[in-house]
Formats: sequence, C-alpha cells, structure tokens
Amino acid sequence: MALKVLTPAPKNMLQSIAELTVEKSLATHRMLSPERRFARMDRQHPTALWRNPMSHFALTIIGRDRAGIVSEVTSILYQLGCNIADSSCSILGGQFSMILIISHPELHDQQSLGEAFAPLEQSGLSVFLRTLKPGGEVHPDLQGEICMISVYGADKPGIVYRVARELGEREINITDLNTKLIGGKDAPVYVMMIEAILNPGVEIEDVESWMAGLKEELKVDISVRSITPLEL
Amino acid sequence: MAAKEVLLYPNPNLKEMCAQIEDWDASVDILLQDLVDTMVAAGHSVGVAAPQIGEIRRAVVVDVSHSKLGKKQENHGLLQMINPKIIEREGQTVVREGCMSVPDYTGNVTRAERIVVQFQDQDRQLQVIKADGFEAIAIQHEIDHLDGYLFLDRVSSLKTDLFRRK
Repeated sequence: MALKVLTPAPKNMLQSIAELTVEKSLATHRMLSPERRFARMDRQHPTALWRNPMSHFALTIIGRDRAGIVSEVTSILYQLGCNIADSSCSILGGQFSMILIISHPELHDQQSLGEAFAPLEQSGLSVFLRTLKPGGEVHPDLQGEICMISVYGADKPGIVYRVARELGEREINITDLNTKLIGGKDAPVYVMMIEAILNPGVEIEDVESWMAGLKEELKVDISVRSITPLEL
Repeated sequence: MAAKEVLLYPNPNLKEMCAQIEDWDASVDILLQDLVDTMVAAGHSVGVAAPQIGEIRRAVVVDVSHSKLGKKQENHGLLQMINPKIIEREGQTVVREGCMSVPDYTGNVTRAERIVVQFQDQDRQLQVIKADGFEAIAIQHEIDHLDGYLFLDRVSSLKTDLFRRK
C-alpha cells in the first residue's frame, strides 16, 4: 500500500484542516495554537528545531470495513503535514485495521494532533494515538535466519500460547504473526503463521524439535522452514 | 577492471531497457570482469546485472556456488552471460527476494522453478543451460534487471496476505 506522504503540506495546511473540521469541532482551534507557538519559537531561536527532533506517534485506527477509510485517514495526515514512516493495514474479522508510525516536524505533543482525528471518530472509526519515546521509531537491527512456522489443526484453546511459549522461553523473537479460523462450523480449523528470527546457533532443525512435542500435545500439524530472503 | 559501486534505486539506469550487445569489443570483456569483481566485492553476492553498475547493456553474472543455498544444489558455478534469454519456464515457486539496489526491503516474488536460458558466454560461445532452484531464481532476478524490472515490480503477495481470499 503506497501510503507514504512525504510531500510537504502546503503552508495553509492548518487553515485547511481547520476549515475541514471547524464546523464539527471547535476544539480544532486548540490544536492550532501550540503549532503556532512552535513556529514562532523557531523563528526566535534557530536551534529550536534541533532541540526538538521529529516526534513520532503510533496511530491505530479500526472500524467496520468499507471503501474510503484509507483515503479519509490519509487526507487528514496529509493536511496536517504528517509523514507516514511505517504502516500495516489489513482486514481482521470485519474490521479494517490500520497501524501507522507517523511523524511531524513541528507538532510534538499528542494533544496537538489528537483533535484532528475527531472526524474519523464521527464516521464510526476508533482512533488511538500514542507518542513514541525518542528512538522508538527505529526498526531494530535483527540478525539471523528468518523462519516461518505453520501451525494448523482442529481449533482448540491454547494453540497460539503454547507455540509462542516454546519460542519465548528460548528468547526467539517473533516478528510477524497471523491467525485465522477457517473451515466450516462443524469442523473449524485454526491456522497460524509465525515469522521468527532465530538467534545465532539456532537451526531450523532445533525449532522442529521444539515443535515435535506440541504436535502430539495439541494434535496439530506444524511445519518449519527457512524464509530468509534471497539476497540478489 | 574493478569492482564498481552498486547503484541504488532511484538511479534511473535501473529502470532502463538494456541494449542487446551486437559488437563484441574489448569493452564487453571489461564489463564482464567488472560485474564479476563487483559481485565478489559485495560479500560475494550471487549475481549482478550491468545496469546495477551503470551500463545499459545486456550482461549479467550469476554465481550461487558460494552461497549457503546454492551449495545445497547442483549448479553451474560462475555464469557470465551476454544477451541472456529465458527460452523455457516450468513450475512456479514463491520466494522472498531482496536486492542490493533496493536495500532494507524484501518481498515475495513468484518465479519459475526451472528455466532454460540461452546466452553467449565469456568466450563468445552460445550456451543453452537448464537451471533450477536458487540458481534459476537468481538468473531470473538478474535478467529482470536488463528489462528495467526490479523485484518490487514482481511482488506477488504481501508477507501478511497468507490468508487473503482467492
């Protein structure tokens, strides 16, 4: 999904966002004030930007899936002048779920952004915003073989937990996890896909041996394979 | 002859359709050696295509014999290919690929499992070889570079779309 919004927003972006929301929320104007204060500060103190490196926020939006959600969300981000640094959006159940790491060069506190998303709440989406601690936006440099673990079988409690425990106890980092309940009502099948990074010295065969016991215990099928990208 | 800098996207050379090499002059030998040197210098990567070092001509080198995956299969060792062309494809496999010209990103790409490729080797001899496994994937990836395709143009699924409906 090409969501990157790197083009600087027009100078009147805050004006635009105000026009967008003014009828719905007078609180929008509170949002404008801190930004203006920052802008003035920057003029008075050239080092102000240096003192205030780009703030990053985690933005989570979820709501009943329909066409137009991404457009509504990114329109607001664009007009605010936010960058989308990293994002993942998908349908879970009937819900469209968006998780984004966003940044803004001037707005540093949650309050200054929060009200801008009010229109989304009004259209039935739930919006959560959290300020990241400095450095929280940097992807960890994970080294090691990437393995995919497929787990599937008749649905029963504890499939996710038992597999995750085997990995967690050995400090194996799960980097991606998907689960889905498939099949009919009479024979529900649980499917789980895990991507994990193996610590140095850990081989695919080791993971297979950890999973061997679980196959018996949970009566599920489990396969493990390397999906380390081919560097070409 | 020397290892060259590997160009990164958005360098426009990476999106060019490369020209067939018709006249085999000394520059072609130099190009092949530069490709080999660049491949080796890049931590012995498994392949480099001419546009990755700024030459818009149809030449690639592939050598999977030094890689962990390549060692597990029969392979042709160092292949120096001028005007390579895939003349047969068979089977389908999805692999996650990365590319030196697009750092920090990988994607799942659908490739043919087995290919037959014809090319002129470093001695100007016409060769037709069968390749499979990792070697076949590497050859397809490098030949894509000659047509201005990056693996980004071939991504067949997001890594999280395992459950996407047909």
